[in-house]
Amino acid sequence: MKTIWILAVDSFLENIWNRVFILVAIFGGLLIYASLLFGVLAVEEELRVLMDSGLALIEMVTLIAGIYFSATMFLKEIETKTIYLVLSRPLSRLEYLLGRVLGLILSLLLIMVLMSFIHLILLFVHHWSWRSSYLLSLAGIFLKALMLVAAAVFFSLFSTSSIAAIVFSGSLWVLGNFTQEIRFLTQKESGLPALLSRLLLFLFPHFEILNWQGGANDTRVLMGASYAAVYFLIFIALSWLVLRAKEF
Amino acid sequence: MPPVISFREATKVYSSSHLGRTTKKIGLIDFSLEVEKGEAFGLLGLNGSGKTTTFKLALGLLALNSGTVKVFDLPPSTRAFYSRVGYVPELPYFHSFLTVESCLKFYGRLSGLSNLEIKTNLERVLWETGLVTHKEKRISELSKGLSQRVALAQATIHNPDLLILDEPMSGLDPLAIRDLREYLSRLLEEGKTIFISSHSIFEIEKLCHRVGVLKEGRLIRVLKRKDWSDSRGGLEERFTEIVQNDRLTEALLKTSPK
Amino acid sequence: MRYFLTLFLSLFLINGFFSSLGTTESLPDFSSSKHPVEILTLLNLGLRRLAADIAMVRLLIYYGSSEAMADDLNPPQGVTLYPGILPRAQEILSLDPSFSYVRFYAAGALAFNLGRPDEAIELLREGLILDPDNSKYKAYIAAIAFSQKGDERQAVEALSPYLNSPKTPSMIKNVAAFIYLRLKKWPQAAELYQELLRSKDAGYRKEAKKMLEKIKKYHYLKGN
Repeated sequence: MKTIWILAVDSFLENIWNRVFILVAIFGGLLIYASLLFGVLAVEEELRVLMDSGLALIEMVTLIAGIYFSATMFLKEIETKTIYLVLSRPLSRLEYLLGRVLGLILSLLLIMVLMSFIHLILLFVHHWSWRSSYLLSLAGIFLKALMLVAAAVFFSLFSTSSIAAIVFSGSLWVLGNFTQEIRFLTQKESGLPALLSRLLLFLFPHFEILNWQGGANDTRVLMGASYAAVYFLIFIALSWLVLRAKEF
Repeated sequence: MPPVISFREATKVYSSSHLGRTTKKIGLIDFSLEVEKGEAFGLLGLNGSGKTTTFKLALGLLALNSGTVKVFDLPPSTRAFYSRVGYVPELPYFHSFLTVESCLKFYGRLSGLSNLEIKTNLERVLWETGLVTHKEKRISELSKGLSQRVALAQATIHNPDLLILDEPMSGLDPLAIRDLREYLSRLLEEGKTIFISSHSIFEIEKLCHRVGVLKEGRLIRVLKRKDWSDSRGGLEERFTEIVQNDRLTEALLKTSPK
Repeated sequence: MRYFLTLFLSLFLINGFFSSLGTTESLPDFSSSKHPVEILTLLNLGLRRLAADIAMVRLLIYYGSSEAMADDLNPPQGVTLYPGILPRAQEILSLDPSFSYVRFYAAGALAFNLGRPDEAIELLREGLILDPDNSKYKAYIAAIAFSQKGDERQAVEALSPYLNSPKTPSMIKNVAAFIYLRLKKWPQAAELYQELLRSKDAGYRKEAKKMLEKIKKYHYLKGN
């Protein structure tokens, strides 16, 4: 456990040093621009639009950062030979995997916290009153990020190409947002198209059940969180199986 | 006492698949070698001869296709094994934002050292590698020579019994090479075992007790110190001679009628 | 390999199991949208609410544009002003059925400003299908029906419980205040104009200020 934490802190610090602040600065700039623009255009629904656009930007930045960091992290370590320095120490490959992934998750959490902070300032400036559903929305985004991080880590270890890993995880992100439409097809169609649609439902993740922006009851939150956790653990276990047998 | 490193008929073949086509490349073939405790063993060979493959096999970073490799009589994958080994890969990278001290502390912690052990060992390695005055500097501010010292310091922070050094002198200026050699000699005096590769035959010649010559994944000769100390041209002449003779033999075998 | 397959199978089953948690109702319909690529991109990224928001901004811009004068309440015969309001509102509501502001805004504009109560009622009925217990939809439908009959007093009475709500579009409040003026209910009109002074729409704030001054002057003239 101690080793996992040491590795996590190392990854976290590296991410902060290299990437986090640039991303947050870009987010802050975009958000301020969007708030000024929407403030004029959305008139009476300014707060809703500011809330939605802010959360959408937080989601986009977190998920893109999550996919990018995960897809490049291990391959960068192999390329720079850092992995040799770490794996030639008394630690297991599982500890290495968990440590690096934990560091990445902590970095994403920090990105989310900083972006939410900027977002909340803007909301309060526009006389928004605090609602705990805001935290629920962030939790949904974070869980989606966990799922994509685990998938991207697996793809990066499996494919040995960061571009391929980014493409696979990006596709999973896009297709995971289409399951509602696919489910609709399974009910409207019959025969082979319905069967194929049903098959796709088993293949793709269901990010829709983590969209808690419009509010969600306890059962939905609990089920969504369990789904994300199981999905994450399965992909981490798959990544471990690949890493365990991997040569460097 | 069992040897520190023991390879028995070790063979490593790299295979890569592209568009359904598998290409195979020999990394090491029928490699047998034993390195004793307190010994400095050097690997010499042209580029792609299998030096790094040998080290990675000894470290458990690669898996053998056939044969065995044992280090401290253990398969190279256990925690007990890794806590006794220090490794310097060729041109390693360290996080540029870290200071020398924080970088070494990180590797110390990763090696399972306690805070007290880190404190004591850090002072020792900083002193021995000549990094004391640079400990507050960031890695990004270091010259290539100083970075290489950091690489050596991280490999020795946990006071390992075996050091595996892949081209540790690469890119160093003559003074840095001398300092490194002196440091390694001190480690040998302490009873450590060193398994090293270098393109600098002159340094290998001064440091090592025995040298293995690798060519295309095969260990074609093992030389003892007296084999080159007796020769006027030293190890360089012996190495050139061995590699050229091998080439000649190969050419003759190819052209001779069946 | 065995573990690998087991884990993949688990992933497959978990996806299948949790797919039942999703909903099948209200698929987004943007077949007649002028910006299908934009909507599709946002849906691909899971940003359905933002897609609705952007479409709403487009609706506001459309209704505020000079395609026809916004305050022209008596268009020439045969000319349909802002024909795109209903399909645009329906598109937004298919993206986010809970976006009630759009439903009330578009229904109000269609019924009270553009003289197309049938389209307004269609929009509100769609809302009632999704949320049958929503009394606000019923009140709007009633208000439109009374207005069609020319009974402005009943129309504004039907709307009155919702007129002070911050969620009611300023446009509706403005229409109601105007009806109160016509009915000579000065205090109610003044109260609504006071409310409109806090509107985020500068146009309504300006109008409210002007009307409040007029009411004051009228009261003085009447000696109240």
